[in-house]
Amino acid sequence: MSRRIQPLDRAAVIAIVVLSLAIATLLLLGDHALARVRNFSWQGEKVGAEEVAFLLTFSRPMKPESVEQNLTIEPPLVGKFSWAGRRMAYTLETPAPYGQTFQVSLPQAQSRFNAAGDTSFEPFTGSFQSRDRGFVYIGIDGEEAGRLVLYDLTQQAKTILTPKEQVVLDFEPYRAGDRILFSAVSRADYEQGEQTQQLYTVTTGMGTTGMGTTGMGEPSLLPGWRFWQRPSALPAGETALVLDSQGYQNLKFDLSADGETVVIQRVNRTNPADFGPWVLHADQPPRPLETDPGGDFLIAPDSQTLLLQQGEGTAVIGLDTLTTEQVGPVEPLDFLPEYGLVLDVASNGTAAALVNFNQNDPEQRYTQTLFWVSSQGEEKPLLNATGAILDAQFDPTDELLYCLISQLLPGENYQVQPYLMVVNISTGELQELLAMPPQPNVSMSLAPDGLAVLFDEAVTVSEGSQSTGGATGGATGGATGGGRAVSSSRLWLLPLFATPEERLANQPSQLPPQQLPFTGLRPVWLP
Amino acid sequence: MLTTAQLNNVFTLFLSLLVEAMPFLLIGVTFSSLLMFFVNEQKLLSILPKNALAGSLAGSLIGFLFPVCECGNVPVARRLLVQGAPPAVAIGFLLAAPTINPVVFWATWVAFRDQPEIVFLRVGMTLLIATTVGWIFSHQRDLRPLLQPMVARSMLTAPARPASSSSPLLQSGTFLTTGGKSVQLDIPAAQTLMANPAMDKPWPAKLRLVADNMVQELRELGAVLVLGSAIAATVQVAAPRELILSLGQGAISSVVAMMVLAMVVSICSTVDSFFALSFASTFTSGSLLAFLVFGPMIDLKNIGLLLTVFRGRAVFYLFALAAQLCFALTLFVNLYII
Repeated sequence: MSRRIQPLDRAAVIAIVVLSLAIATLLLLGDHALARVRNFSWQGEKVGAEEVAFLLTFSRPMKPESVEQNLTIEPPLVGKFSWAGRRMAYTLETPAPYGQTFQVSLPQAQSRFNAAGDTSFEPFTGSFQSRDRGFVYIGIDGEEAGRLVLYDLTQQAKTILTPKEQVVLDFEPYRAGDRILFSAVSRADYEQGEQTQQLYTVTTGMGTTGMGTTGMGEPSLLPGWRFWQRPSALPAGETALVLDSQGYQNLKFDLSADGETVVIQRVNRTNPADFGPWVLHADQPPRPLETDPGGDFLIAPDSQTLLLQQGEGTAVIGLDTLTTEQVGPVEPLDFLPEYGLVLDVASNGTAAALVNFNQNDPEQRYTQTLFWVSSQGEEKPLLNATGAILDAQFDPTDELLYCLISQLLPGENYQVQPYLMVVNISTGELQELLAMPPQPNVSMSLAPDGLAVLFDEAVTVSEGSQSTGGATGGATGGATGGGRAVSSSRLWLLPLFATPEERLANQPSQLPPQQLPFTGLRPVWLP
Repeated sequence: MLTTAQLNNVFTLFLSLLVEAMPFLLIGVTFSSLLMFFVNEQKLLSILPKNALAGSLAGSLIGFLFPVCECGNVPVARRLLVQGAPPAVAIGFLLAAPTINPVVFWATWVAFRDQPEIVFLRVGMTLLIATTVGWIFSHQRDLRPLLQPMVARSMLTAPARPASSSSPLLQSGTFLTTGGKSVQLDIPAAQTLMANPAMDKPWPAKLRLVADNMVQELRELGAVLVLGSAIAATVQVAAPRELILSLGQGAISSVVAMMVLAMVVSICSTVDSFFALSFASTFTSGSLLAFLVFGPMIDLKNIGLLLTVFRGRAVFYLFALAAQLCFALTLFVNLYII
């Protein structure tokens, strides 16, 4: 009976015929799907200098050259393409200049599935912004006196961040730019010369929040599982206590790049011999770092290593091992006997700018030499200073090093003149950008996009009066690093490049500085 | 001939496929062995809808209860038929069960996290195809003329069997191919063989049977996986790059190529998404889907098993309908969607 035509035979044959017709129709109608951009990783984002690449994900594998030739960014950003399957990464050669909106467009491209000449592609446009250009300084005049002031250059807006009853002594912005760590004393204590500075954070209302940074004193960051909610920037001016001054005086501090660790130089109020660096990890009580007494220090960009001046050299101490309950002294990972001061570490961690005080060379005594030292142990002397090497900062490409040095002026009196210099690390070429009027105290800050330097020009009351603390009557200002009271301090902005070509070629030119229309101390760019 | 460097590449690819896929094979085997003891197929059959379309859809969804790959589903479908399940249910199950189950869904998700639409389209298309083919088969109320004579005869005696409540459906393919020869299915002894003999045994014996079953399935399916991975790795390294690219980039040729590949490689549905992933950057999304949808339904190893149940004509209909539907749907995806 199986040879007979069954109902299934009929149904199946009809279905097969119908399906064949359907397939034939599909084939005749041809291709209608368009290749398109499925995802643009920076769409609507506010990117900072630390974000170096965006991703475009396509719906189909693309012909790379067709995308690379047609992709435009307005204003232009130079970068490199790289591909992984249907994904394309564009890595910027230099950070996007701050305070701008960028349009990314890809009007046409070809997928690998398209025949030659077939350009069916859904045109794509996207946009992103770079962060607002902003900086923070310690105010001097009027109600700004002793308080942290934020100036947003993009919006041309000024905000006083810290409360009136505090006098800010030192500060450092978090990498995300959303908060600032600062040390301050109460105004009453400040006027009596009490060293009761405590560590606080204050929100800036700028930058990107919640970019994977959790840290101290920030109760409002969203927990990780609420990944779909974008944290909004906190309003500016919310302070939180990070470390009190109970039993100890808090002196210098440094904040790690990931915002998780603070190292503080502390001294016991009753026993001045109990002196040294303490480590404060997020959500843990502060712990003394048991090592030989040291001086200046810096946390490397990896946030895991502390570079601590010890004796005439610099010890390299691992901070990551300290998270476990550790007893006993910490052994340094390494010791650099030649260099007494670390000024900056390249953002990729492969090199550092170190100062040699030339103690072992009788001819060069009392001069300082700035060295570039790579992690492979390669050493390169960059420049000499007869006065002091005050600061050095790597530019975002790690190719240039901006240095603030002072040279001794000839004559009876000890007088130094500061200079702003730039060194091209690969060629060793040294260029003077600016000579400042003779003065002992000056500070500089390189913009996160590497396009400008901020510096202050502090004028002390008079050469003779060595008054310290807040003892000078009328001047209500903050104190410089040396503890000297200041009556006036101008802020300057120095652009570094005249044209975008100079920027790409890493060749800064000498341009006139612009005086900013307010007074203040220690201007520092927000990252 | 392959050079040493190419051989190295083959070996690396082979190992990476194997390492990615092995955990899912283990999970699949463990599930199917354990569930042998927990699912009562007779009760299941009694609650299935009688309507042809709903029945075939229900049959397609039974896979969620039986995480078996295509190596295990033919024997189960056969027992469904023998126990008097409507053709729509049995065919729906036969085509969909290897794909519509949690282990396969999860494995596909892990492999294609970047393209979630692949995961959902795979499930959706499989359901659609299985339901449609099941519905077409439901036009034949009495399937016996299209079954192998042995199976057809055992169906005649099946309704007389009273012990149905104690004979779970789920039995792996190994049992059939190694244990009961299909030629003996018409004698009563074979029917008890087909039923699960473990159901009445005490717990320790049951557990030992589970372990034995797992080892046996793993040995056989593992061998298929090793072979499949080796073929996949060799094809990718040895076949000329231009050939693969030109095949993989045509909207039509890529689908045909992947369907043929799916048939030849006969890779298990719990792990085939990792196999497909290695083609993701060069082949169209539609062709990947064709591989993922068609492979578990019909492949060479599976056709052999099908021929122990159905006559050649029915197997041809199954094959042709599934292939045409799969081709049409994935071509549509290629031409209109992605």
